Amino acid sequence: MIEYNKFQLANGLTVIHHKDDSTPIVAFNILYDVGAKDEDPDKTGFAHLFEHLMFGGSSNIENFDTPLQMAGGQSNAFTSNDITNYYSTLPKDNLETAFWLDSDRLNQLAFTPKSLEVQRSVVIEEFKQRYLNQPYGDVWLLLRPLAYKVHPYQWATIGKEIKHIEDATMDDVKAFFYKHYGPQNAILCVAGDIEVEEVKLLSEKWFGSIDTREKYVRKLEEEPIQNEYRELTVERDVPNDALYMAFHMPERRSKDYYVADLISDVLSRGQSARLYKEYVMENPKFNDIHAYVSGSMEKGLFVFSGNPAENVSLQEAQDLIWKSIERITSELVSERELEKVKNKVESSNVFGEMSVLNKAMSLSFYELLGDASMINEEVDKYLSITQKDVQRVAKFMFRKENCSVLNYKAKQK
Amino acid sequence: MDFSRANAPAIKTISKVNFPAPKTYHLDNGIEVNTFNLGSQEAVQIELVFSVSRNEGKNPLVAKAVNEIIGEASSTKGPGVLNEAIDFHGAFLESTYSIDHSSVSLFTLTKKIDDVLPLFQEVVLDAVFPKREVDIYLTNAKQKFIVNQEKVDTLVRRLYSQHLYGDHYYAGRTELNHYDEVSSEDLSEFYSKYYTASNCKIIVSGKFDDSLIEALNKSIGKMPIGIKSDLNHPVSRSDNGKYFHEKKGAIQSGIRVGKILDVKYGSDEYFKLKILNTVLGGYFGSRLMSNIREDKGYTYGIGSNISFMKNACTFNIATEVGADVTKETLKEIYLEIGKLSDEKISEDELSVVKNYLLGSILKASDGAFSLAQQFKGVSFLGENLTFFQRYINVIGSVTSDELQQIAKTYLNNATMLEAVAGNG
Repeated sequence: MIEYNKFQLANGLTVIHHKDDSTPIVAFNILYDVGAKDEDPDKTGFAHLFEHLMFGGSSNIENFDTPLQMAGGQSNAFTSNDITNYYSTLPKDNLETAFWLDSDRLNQLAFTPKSLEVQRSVVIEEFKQRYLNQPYGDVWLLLRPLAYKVHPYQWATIGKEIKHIEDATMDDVKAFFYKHYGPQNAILCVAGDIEVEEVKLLSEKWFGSIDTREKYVRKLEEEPIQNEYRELTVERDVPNDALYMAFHMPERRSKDYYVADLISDVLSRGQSARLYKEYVMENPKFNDIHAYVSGSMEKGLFVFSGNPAENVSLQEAQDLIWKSIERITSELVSERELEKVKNKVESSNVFGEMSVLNKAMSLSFYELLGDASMINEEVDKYLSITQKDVQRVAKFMFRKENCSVLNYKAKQK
Repeated sequence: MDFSRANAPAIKTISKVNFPAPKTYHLDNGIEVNTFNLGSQEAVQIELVFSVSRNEGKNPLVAKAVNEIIGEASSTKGPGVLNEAIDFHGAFLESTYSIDHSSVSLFTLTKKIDDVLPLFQEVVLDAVFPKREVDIYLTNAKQKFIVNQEKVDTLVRRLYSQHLYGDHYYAGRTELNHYDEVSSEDLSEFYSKYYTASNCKIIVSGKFDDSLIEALNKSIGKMPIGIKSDLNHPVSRSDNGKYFHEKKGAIQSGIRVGKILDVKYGSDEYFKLKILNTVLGGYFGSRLMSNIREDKGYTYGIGSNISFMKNACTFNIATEVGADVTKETLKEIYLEIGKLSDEKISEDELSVVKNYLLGSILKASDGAFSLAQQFKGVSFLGENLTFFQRYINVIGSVTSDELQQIAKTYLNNATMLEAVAGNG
């Protein structure tokens, strides 16, 4: 059970406090309710590029990292399709430095042309390093637009193409900042050996004077129910074929999200999971095979991915995955299997709560999802799942007309 | 309001970090057990660290394969049975492997220890390596190997260590043919010789009852003594050449620059080198990052490190950069190395580095699992946790003059080895 306090400043900033007196480190996490899904389809990759610019200085501070390092701290951030999350850890005595730094960049970013110019190059190199200059690096750049035709999940956080990043202008940067970075759009969580009164005082002092900005109301078009089987085949200069099969799945807040997540555990968590056991060890048809959920807030994807063994065609590999699907939709999962994956959920929850930073990130995320208290309800949601739930949700998801297949073929040399 | 955004809040400098010493026990077969029993989460890690030289195997693949396959089967349980039983209790195994050691860890909730300890005992004391499962492993590992050969990062790492270590087994690269030459007998033999008490140390961390030590004695305490692996093979070699591996069509180049350092682990000079390395490439605000990423935008990331192994200490710079700026990046790297000898570090920069390092040491002391990992690192090289207080003392006292002297002694550009993989 994670205990916490929550309050809101007059300008709309939500603040969560969690006390953990076992650590000399304090975690300072600030989540902004903006992600790649809020981008213009012609200017993708922007939320992530913007995250880089947030480290390029604010009106009173030339460079974000130097004063933080001077205070013995470290910082980083990530952008997803849903959120942009900034986090720092530092010695608890120096907590105020984090308040100073993060409030100044929320108050007024510096918008220096040099920072934009350099970070465009850095992000382009990131694009190359992670998506283009790696075998199979472009899989998600292909799979997303296959599965999503309307919803902005059709592009990856890095963006659709390098050109979108090259074309980003300072006007775009400013507009994005004022549209998405306001106190009303942020959730701050401070976790560590610190009292709530102090967090209140510091929040009021550093963030209280920042004006509320116009609330951005998100209006995303929902992805229509997929009712056609989709298949894309590409050839690339890679050593072996790879197969990806994606199914639309329930949204993050629904009960069935948890069921889908547990189905991915039954199929693919640990070496005793079905796919590995059956298709890697017992009847070796794949070198490697996994099933996982994308974990996004709106309707995400349930993905099977595998590298077929030598002499196993992509068609045969697809048939084998359908066979595994047939089993989970036609037979009830065994009681022992279900108990096993529930035990895994319980223990990984305990391991996840060992780090104060993890706790701060989770509290912020659940607050965005609905309420920070959900952090204490997660495990029970998994534990309440029945064998029939598993079968029902598997049947609902794993339909041919809900499936998008990417055949990633190795070019014949 | 009574404050100004222009003024940074006051900060406190760390002068002492508390690294609680472990409690030490010995099992009947002589295995040393060090424990860190603290924290509030009801979870435990039991790590068995085997000091095993990869030189002992038929080829470099053997040590790795043993480490990765262990747990698959025992003399009484067929393939997958142990894994399933451990999974069932929500526990998991983690195998890690480095140039000097192989380790096998059990992670479990404290309340499940009695259920999973007997299974863990079987994993490490009674492992078998069935031919069929070994063959599957080798086929799949070979495919991964082939995929990795497509990455400039892999290619440059291999090229670099080949020239850094020459004919020493630290250079012992796995080659494609090794996957066809290893048999299940090779693995069994390696396992029974070296996964033994004379090579093993145990670190237990988390929250647990003292009775766990007796339980470990009754289980792991039965591990046979075995043959002590000979880890002593000093590397003495220096290659300052420039090497290139062509990878047609690569849009980025992998770069490594570095050398072998002759320095004693835990000495003042060693600590000063660590501090100097931090200035150069050891943190986000480092000179390499500031210049090559934050000023020029040539890369997504660049860093340097000092790595201490049983038989060598190395200094290494690593990055992946746009193919068109490979030469420019190398020029800037050498410029930054040279500046360490040519110019004194400013007081401002040095104090940022000092405070940053003190903060990271504080973070390293946070929690039982992290303490255990720190202890593992230093104790393997003959130190204990007082290492960190000595490091803190050197951070406190070191001057720019001393660091410049260290740079002149150890980091001369003419002594650097250079490796690049990319589109020529």
